[in-house]
Parts: sequence; C-alpha cells; structure tokens
Amino acid sequence: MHEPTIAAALISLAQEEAARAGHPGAAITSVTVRVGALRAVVEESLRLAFDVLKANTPLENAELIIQGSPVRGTCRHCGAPFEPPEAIFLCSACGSGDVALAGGDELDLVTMIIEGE
Amino acid sequence: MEINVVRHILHANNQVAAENRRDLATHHITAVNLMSSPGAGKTAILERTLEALRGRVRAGIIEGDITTTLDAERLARFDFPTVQINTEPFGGDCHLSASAIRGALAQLPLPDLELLFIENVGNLVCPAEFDIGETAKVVVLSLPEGEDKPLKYPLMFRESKACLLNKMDLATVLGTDVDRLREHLRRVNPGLKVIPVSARTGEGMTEWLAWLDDLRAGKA
Repeated sequence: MHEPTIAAALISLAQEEAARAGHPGAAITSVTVRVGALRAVVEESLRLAFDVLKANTPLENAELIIQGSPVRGTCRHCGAPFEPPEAIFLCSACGSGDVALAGGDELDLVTMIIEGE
Repeated sequence: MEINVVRHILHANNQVAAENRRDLATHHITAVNLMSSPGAGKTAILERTLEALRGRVRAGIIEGDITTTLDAERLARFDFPTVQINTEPFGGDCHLSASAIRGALAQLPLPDLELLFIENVGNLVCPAEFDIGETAKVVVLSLPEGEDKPLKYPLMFRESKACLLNKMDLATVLGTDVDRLREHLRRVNPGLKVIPVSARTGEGMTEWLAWLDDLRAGKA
C-alpha cells in the first residue's frame, strides 16, 4: 500500500509544477503519469487513493491518466532486445544476467492540463 | 493549457534522501537499509551483528516500526546510539520515508559513527520503493517464507545489493530447496550477493561481517 504515499506526492507535485509554470492555485483538470512495471504499483489502489486525496485541492476535478511502461532493454552480452513478460532478468537469447534496462522503472508525472490559457 | 513536466513523482522524497546521503558522506558513515517481511529476523540478525561489532566498529541504529519500541529495547543492551521511529501508533506507514530518516539523523551523534543500520518496517513491497539515502539496501529472506518469494516480490530483490537467507538452521526441517531459492534470486537479480545465515546458531555471520567490511571499504 505505497499507493497513498505516491498519490499524495503526485498531488503536491502537480500543484508545485502549476505554480512553477506561473499559475499558482490554478484548477488542474488532468494529470498523466507513467508507471513502470517494476514499480509494483496497483493501478486500482493508486486511483482510489488519488480520488480520496484530491478532495479540496486544485485537483478536485482532475482526471488521472496512467500510462504503463513495460520492462525493456538490451542484453549487454549478445545484444538481443530484452522485454521479459515476467520478472526474470536473464536474456532469453543467451541466458546472460548482464542486461541494460531502458525502461520499466519509471514513476513520473509526465504532463498535466490546467484551466486557463 | 497543457504543461509538460516529466518529473519523478517521489521527487520530494528523493531530494530529502539526497540530503541524507550527503550528510552521511560528510561523516564517512556507511548506512545499511535492512528490509524484510515481518518476522524474517531483522532484529535477531542485528543482535548478532552488534554483538560482533561491539568494541570494533562505532555503529548507530535507526529502528523503524509502525508502533511499539520493542525492537529498540531488545537492542538497548549493546549501548549503541539508537533512535526509534514509529510511523503511526495505530497502524501507519508501511515504510520509512527519507524525511523520517532525516529527523532520526538529527538525533544521532553523526561525528562519532562509522556504520548505521536502519531497520525498516517489516514489509516486502513498499520499503523498496523509497530511497532514504542509504549506502545499500539489504533484504533478509527467511526460509519459512518459501522459495517463490523473489519471483513474487521482484522489486525488493532487484533494489537490494545483498540478500541474507536467514533461518538456515531450519532448512532440513522445512525441506527447503535452497538451490531452487538461489536460482530464483539469480533470475530476478543476477548481481545480488546471497549470504546464508542463521541468527540463532551464528552460521554465516563471518561472511556477513566481511561483506559489511567490503561495503565500508567501497568494495561490495
């Protein structure tokens, strides 16, 4: 249940970013996040926590858009692409454990929409 | 209006973790973030470890629990500076955050320490998600939990630098297939250092203490 902490951090970060863009306190209507498969985030739990915690904030009417991101990379040993369907970090082509990850561990606020021009 | 951000959601936590890391580096302190399920034996391993380090290494301890000071009381006899963090008296956060550690660091005599053990809240999921500024994460997996746990909780085992396989003294009774367990650990994290130990008999403690020395020397 780390989702409530993540939702609370997302709500603060979105308000911080709105202020940084010169719109402090502006109503935020949508936030898009990218969540890598390695992050062990349960989408339903994140949505539930977000919906509970956004009350009485500028994100009150905000929609949460979650983009998944698969674990992917390249094998450093044989160069084969690496995109395992489950948490096995061995190259399926040569069996090497030396893989370079290029995705799957993201936990980012990517973009958001605020009211106004 | 659309604003493009691309910023880590736990940015605020990670910033505080960076401050912790900087303060620990200033005082040349190696910090070990000890994580596991409840009951895997983190405190028992710490008891063995502190016993061995007494008079040799100046260690400090941060005890994280949802509630109670029972673990800190168990460790009090070693006379190492200890700070207890309770996340909430009636069932709070399931992990330690960087700011909880920041508060605890302020209560420790940092100039006198070389090694800091942070015993995280017992939980095989959430603690792995939060950087607290540690030098290394170490996961304790006890044999009764079963050989499949690395596959079921991959993040914890991916994030860790070493894994202590505790309760090795029970291997025969439980019929644990230790080779299969090791293979599961290797699949999830091929670079993980695996050290079989028993906090009860003391098995493996020499190897664990040697690994801690390597970590302090920047060689682990």
